Amino acid sequence: MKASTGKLSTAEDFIANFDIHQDEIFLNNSNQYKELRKNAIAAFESLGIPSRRSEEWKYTNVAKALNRDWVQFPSETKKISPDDIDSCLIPGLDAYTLVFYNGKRIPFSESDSDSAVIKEFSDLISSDISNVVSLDLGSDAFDTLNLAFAIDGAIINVPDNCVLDKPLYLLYISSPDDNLFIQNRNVIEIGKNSEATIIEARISLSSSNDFQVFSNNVTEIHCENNSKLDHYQFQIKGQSGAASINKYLVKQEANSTYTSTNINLGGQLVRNNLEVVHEGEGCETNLFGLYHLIGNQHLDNHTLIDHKMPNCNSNELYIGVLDDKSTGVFNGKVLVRKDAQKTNAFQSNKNILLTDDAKMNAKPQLEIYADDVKCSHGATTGQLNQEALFYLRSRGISKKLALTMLMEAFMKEVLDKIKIKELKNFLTEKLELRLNVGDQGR
Amino acid sequence: MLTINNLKASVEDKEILKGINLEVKKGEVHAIMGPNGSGKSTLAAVLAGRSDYEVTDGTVDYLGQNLLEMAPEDRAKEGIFLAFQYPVEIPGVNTATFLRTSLNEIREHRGLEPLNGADFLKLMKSKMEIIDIDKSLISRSLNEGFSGGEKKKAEIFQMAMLEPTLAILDETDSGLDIDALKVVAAGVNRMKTDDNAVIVITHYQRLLDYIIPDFVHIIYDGQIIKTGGKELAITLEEKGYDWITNEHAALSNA
Ligand SMILES: Nc1ncnc2c1ncn2[C@@H]1O[C@H](COP(=O)(O)OP(=O)(O)OP(=O)(O)O)[C@@H](O)[C@H]1O
Ligand SMILES: [Mg+2]
Repeated sequence: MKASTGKLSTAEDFIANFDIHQDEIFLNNSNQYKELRKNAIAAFESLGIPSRRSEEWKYTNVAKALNRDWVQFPSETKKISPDDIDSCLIPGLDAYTLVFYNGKRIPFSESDSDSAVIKEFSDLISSDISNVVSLDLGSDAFDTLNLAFAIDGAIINVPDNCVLDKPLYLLYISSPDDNLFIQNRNVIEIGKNSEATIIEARISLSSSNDFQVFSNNVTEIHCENNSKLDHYQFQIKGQSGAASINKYLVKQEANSTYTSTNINLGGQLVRNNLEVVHEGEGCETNLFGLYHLIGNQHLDNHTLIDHKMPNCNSNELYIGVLDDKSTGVFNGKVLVRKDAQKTNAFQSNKNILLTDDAKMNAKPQLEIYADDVKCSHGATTGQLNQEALFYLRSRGISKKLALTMLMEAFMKEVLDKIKIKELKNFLTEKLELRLNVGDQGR
Repeated sequence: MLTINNLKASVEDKEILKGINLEVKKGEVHAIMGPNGSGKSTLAAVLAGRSDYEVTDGTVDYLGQNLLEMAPEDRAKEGIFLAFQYPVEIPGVNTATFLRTSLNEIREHRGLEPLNGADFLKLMKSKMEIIDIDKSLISRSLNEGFSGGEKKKAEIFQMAMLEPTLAILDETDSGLDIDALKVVAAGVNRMKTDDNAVIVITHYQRLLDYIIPDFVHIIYDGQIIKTGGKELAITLEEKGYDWITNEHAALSNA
């Protein structure tokens, strides 16, 4: 057994770590996948960890969050108690459930592993991969890092003409007391004319002031012709102690509908990169986001919708409330290429800052090269409506309750997008708890 | 019930209320009139506890308590209700949910059990009939997209639900059509008892044909410069404000 040497904090450490842990990394790999990993680590070597001088990382100091001794392949694997898992389940929700603990898939329910749509990670790395994993290594250091190292993740394959009877719940739990660096790579295929709902939960049980968990995840999603995917992602807990970078690469074929709803209530530093590209006509893309940040949480939502084809619609709405000293970034790019005539693209980002110390950087970008399109975008950052607050108070409602009512009302627009009742109740409750905690005499 | 003594208030260092004196006893109806910008809504807002206005002098006693020291929600719980001249639209807050929250907060303060859903609906229904308000409004977001008249009606509907001890109606008549005006006035008269009081702020004598005031006060430049009976409103309607302001100027110069 290998000792847990190979501490990580710089790019060089990661590269050395790749050599040290080749046995684990290459286990069950096809030659093709081995090549892919080697190319990926080489690409990472030339890219390096992005600094704040890089335009894409201007407001998110990832190097600082990385700067500690991370362990990627711990020599001992900790166990999670059934109670801890239970606390991460959505009450009343009947779903196919996959549980990952500290990056490793762990057995959860026998019946769920029977489901034909859930594959093993080894299916991905041992077989012909050219049609699933994007071979374009691109310029994203964290994507290449993930490709090089990831040895586990959810592999979902919904066959053609199949409407999944219940949602898939992908539950990623991380532990409180290791300096763990976690990388999962997920691949989701939605076959022709098929429909599915996927709920992805990132729950860090971490609670110290130092980062204890850093997870760098990539999810590749392929929506085939005429398919429909409702994709929910939420992050709760770990507002001190957990950092994560989540990349979603979504490829949509003709007449497919992809809806992403991202609810961010947890994590100390979170970067979401959501990139959607239309490969066929008649696609519909909905990207919704909701965040409530407290303490010194930092959330950076980057989205890109690449309108390559004609007659596609995209609709984007991100709403957030920033409290205390929290900071937020919204960078939403909509690219309408020359051939993408008859595109409808709408984007909106609305923020409320509750304190003078909270900060928001919103950067909506529209790049349009086609002439027959309808596009609009807007970003607003403001304070809570004091007149509305007074109105509610003048009717006998306490300041604290009135604030909660107003913030919930503001966030309702996105909360109402959640179509699964159990999930909506679960997240509404989490949100209300957070809203009720602090009334810092505003 | 309410004793206002030499009340002065400013906003952004500009003095708006310049020494208001007013006494309202239970069972009374007071009308406040006065030209645009004279300070009527400011007085109402200060009484309701709006913090944008800084009280620089004077006292307000309400049922033996120092009103100026109370939070807006506590004033409401003690029975003060302001029907706003411009009710704010609050998207995402459902009118019925809001009203139930409000009513139950006030009931709790009065030592009453919170109303359950069924009882609340029953109460709403009975009050809706009195005010003749469209029930679809109640299921919408608070004031959002309500027409001018609907907003005013909704304020009076809230008043009927909350049964205040001191109601201040700030130009509730503006924007109401003649039928709505009668219905609203009838609603106000119906809730009027010997134990509560109403202050109506208005520009028009017409409202006072329906809600008959015991006193009419004229505010001018932040002060009450004349007080009379309901006939004062009729004189105003005929002659305008000039005769009073001239009289006031003559008196102050003397
Ligand atoms: N927040 C504020 N900032 C600056 N000036 C204000 C503010 N609020 C009120 N004022 C000023 O105070 C004065 C009195 O306003 P107020 O609304 O009390 O008048 P009003 O008597 O109710 O008038 P109206 O009959 O038009 O409703 C006006 O000149 C108004 O512009
Ligand atoms: Mg006014």
